[in-house]
Amino acid sequence: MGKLAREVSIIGVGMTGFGKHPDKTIKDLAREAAWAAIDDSGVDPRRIQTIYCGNSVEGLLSGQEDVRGQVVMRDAGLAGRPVVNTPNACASSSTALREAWLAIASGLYDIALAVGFEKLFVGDTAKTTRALATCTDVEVEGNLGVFFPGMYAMEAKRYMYETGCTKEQIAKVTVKNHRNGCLNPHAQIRHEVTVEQVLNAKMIADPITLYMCSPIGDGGAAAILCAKEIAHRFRSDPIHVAAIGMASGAYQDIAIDRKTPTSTEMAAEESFEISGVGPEDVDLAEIHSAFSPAEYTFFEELGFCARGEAPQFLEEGKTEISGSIPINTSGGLESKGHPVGATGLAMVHEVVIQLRGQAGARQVSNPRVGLVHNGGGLIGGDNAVMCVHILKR
Amino acid sequence: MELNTAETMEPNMTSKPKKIAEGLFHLPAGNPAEGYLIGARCAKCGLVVFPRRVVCPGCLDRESMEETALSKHGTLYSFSVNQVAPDGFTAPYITGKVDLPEKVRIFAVITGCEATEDALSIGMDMQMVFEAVGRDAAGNELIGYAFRPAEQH
Repeated sequence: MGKLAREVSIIGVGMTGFGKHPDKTIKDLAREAAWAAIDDSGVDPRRIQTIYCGNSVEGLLSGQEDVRGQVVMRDAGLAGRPVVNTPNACASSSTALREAWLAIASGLYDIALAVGFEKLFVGDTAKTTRALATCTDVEVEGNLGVFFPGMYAMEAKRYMYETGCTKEQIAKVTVKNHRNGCLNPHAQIRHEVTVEQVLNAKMIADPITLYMCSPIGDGGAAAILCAKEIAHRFRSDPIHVAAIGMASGAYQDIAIDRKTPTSTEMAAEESFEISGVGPEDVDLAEIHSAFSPAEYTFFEELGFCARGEAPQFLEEGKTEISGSIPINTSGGLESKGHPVGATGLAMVHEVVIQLRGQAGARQVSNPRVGLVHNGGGLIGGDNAVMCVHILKR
Repeated sequence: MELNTAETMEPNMTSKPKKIAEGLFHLPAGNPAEGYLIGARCAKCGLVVFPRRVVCPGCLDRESMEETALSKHGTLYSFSVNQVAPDGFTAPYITGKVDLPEKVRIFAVITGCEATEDALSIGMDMQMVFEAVGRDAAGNELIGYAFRPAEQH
């Protein structure tokens, strides 16, 4: 692997509240997130040289299939610059962040905007569900009853079979993440739940109950990046993008015997190699818990513990805000919400404000290194897209 | 293996069962009992894949992939009893992943048993069947591949 021409910093982050926003259009969500990040950075917006826009399914929901980024950036007053669209399912805005990082690291640009936006409440849940179901190979799984909670349920059931993990232990992930989400003013679902409430909630696909599922929602999130050498002109506390690792799933036809790594393992390996840090150096992480049991399997694939040990880490309090490796301090996708195209940059928002010490009631004690794990889509037996970002104070 | 292409010569289009997806399976003479999944086997490295493709994902050879009929039995890797259904399906319905002897894992609907947790267990023997697994927008039955618990011997 080669070397970056120069280092890159995040100097601004912004996001809308996640939730149901019948009064806001997709343009409103993108504009509010972008300008929140610009205001946070202190950058003169005229100095933004290039823009990356992550959105997943707006084309299927509104018909705006093409030039989505240009349409929202025109509304935001930021047209004229290069606008690159990065639709990549639930990892669309992590992909936008990666492209912005590479554009600055190359030396071509000094200041970039990455923005993610999604409006999933369109008054027709079946339409939204159909649109999200295209985040797979529609010719294969798409026609054959693919149902995302069911896909995660199959992996959860296999994990329970192999490791002895119980439904109660899975419910404890949901409980932790809802408790964290109560402390996050941007979170969509802000009420605590008990293990009993989680287990007795409407069954979606055993062992996954309603509370274990990320809700559909509307939202936007954005970040301003710049060359590290100029970051201190804008903020005294720039956050260093130490690495972004990315992979696409190797898929089940060659991964069935687990001899080939998963997309999470490949993206994590790349990010650890680029950054020079290892899982033992990470002080907090946002993990793609689209459904609660996935927090355990992804936690293990990221190298935080051996297979089968994640439930014990949670039960010992290690993944709590006060623990040794806090996970999903934002509330996770179950509580914070999951407007898919905005999710990756919202995870980055959480890690950035944690590293700055601005997370208020959910602040982790003195973190220096944070990790974001954001996946998108499912093809075969793996995520279609996987990004792992490592951010350092 | 010589693949039967009789279905493409079927003269009476109206009697031909509608498939839920093209290119994934054959129904020789339109007969579900003789259906099979179309995989590809690499003549160089031996890897078997589904769906079939031109380039071997194992050794990257572009000339070596040969169409092959996949086994119709396997073991249940995992399953899900879904209490919510997408278009064309009715809840509760079961989806599962079945590992074939060729080391190919197939995602499919599971039929032939109650849609309850107790009806299935990981590791059990499964039989591939071709039957109506969903409906199109006009309500017509669509033939697809599915698995059901293998009959006890």
